[in-house]
Amino acid sequence: MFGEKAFDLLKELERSSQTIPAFDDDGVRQVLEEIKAIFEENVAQASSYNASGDRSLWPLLNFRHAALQRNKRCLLAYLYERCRRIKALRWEFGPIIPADIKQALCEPEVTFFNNYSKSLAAYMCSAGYNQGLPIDLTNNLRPPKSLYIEVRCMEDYGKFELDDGEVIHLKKNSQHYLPRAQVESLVRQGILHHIA
Amino acid sequence: MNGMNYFPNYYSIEDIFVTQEKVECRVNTKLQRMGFLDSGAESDDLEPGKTVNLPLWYIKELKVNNAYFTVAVPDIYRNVHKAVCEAETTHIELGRLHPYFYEFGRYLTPYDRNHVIGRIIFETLRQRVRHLLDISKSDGQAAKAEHRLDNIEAKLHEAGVRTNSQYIEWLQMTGNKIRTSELVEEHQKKRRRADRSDDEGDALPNSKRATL
Repeated sequence: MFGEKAFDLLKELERSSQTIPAFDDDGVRQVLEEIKAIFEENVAQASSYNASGDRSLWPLLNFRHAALQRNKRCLLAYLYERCRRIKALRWEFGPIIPADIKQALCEPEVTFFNNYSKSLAAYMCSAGYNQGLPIDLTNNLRPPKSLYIEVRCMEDYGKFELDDGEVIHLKKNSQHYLPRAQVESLVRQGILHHIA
Repeated sequence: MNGMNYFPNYYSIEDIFVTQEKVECRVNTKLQRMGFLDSGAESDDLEPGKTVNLPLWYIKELKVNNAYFTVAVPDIYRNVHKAVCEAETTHIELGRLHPYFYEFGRYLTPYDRNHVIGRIIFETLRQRVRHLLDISKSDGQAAKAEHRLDNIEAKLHEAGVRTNSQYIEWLQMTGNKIRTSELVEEHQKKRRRADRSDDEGDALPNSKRATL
């Protein structure tokens, strides 16, 4: 039955909910080949219909057409869902993708991520035009209640430089009292842990 | 992210899942060279009178009163089942009946000569909604039998639990800690699991790990 392979692609994607599985190169290629095969059959049949005017094979033509549309829809939905998850990556992990996730993406997807990052950066710059500084939209996702926060370090990070030049040494289990705006990204990455 | 609003569109994966379901149809006229649709067919052509299982994505392209197939509405939407549904709506395991009960029914309504499907779906949902409201007010940690809710109800339940916990956090004024994002947490857990099993030296084929 047509459309099975394309649906398998989507099943795999749904199973891995929210993380990005490896790009199924083979699967996509198989679906594209299936589309091509169905299309050629249909073209041959349609041209014979033009010659003979025999309408008895019309349901078959219709079925193949529906199968083509179905394969196309599954493929597009697969690509679209992956792109959506890649966009979420930018907001959660920052402008750099961790190496093991990067393995799962194909070339054009990495380009997509970089372009998206660039667009986001350009937008942030233009949005902060009046103050002369870019607004970091990935900061302050919840309304902040204080200027400084108490954090504990969860793993060895090394040196971290604050805006005023002060260098902090982030060792495992050390506690610090730091300005919120600059360390928020580290907390979201899981390197620091916000203590109440 | 976009989990709050669900409206079936071209790209929505759930809609694709629903349209993958198969419906039983009876063939009305002789269809040439479509014998491959029927798995037990001997001939190349599809003979009238046979029943085949066709996927919804094909049926929905054809006109409702088309000459080729008559669609048989599945039993779960028939009147017999309706009585069962009405008797104990909140205890029915809708998920086991059919994981996409409401949406599948929605697609089948044009084919139903008795016009009961619409009413069945509406009444069932109306009575289960109150029950849903109650269970989402609990802390949501209680292990819920996976099969009791169908897809739409499960999403509603999730949204309810999330909203409820946000509300409670706001009341207790504890909700202000910056949290590590969920994706990052999952990623770290996977990495730790991978590191740990690398250290132990056994090659457990953990299917999740393979996808990274």
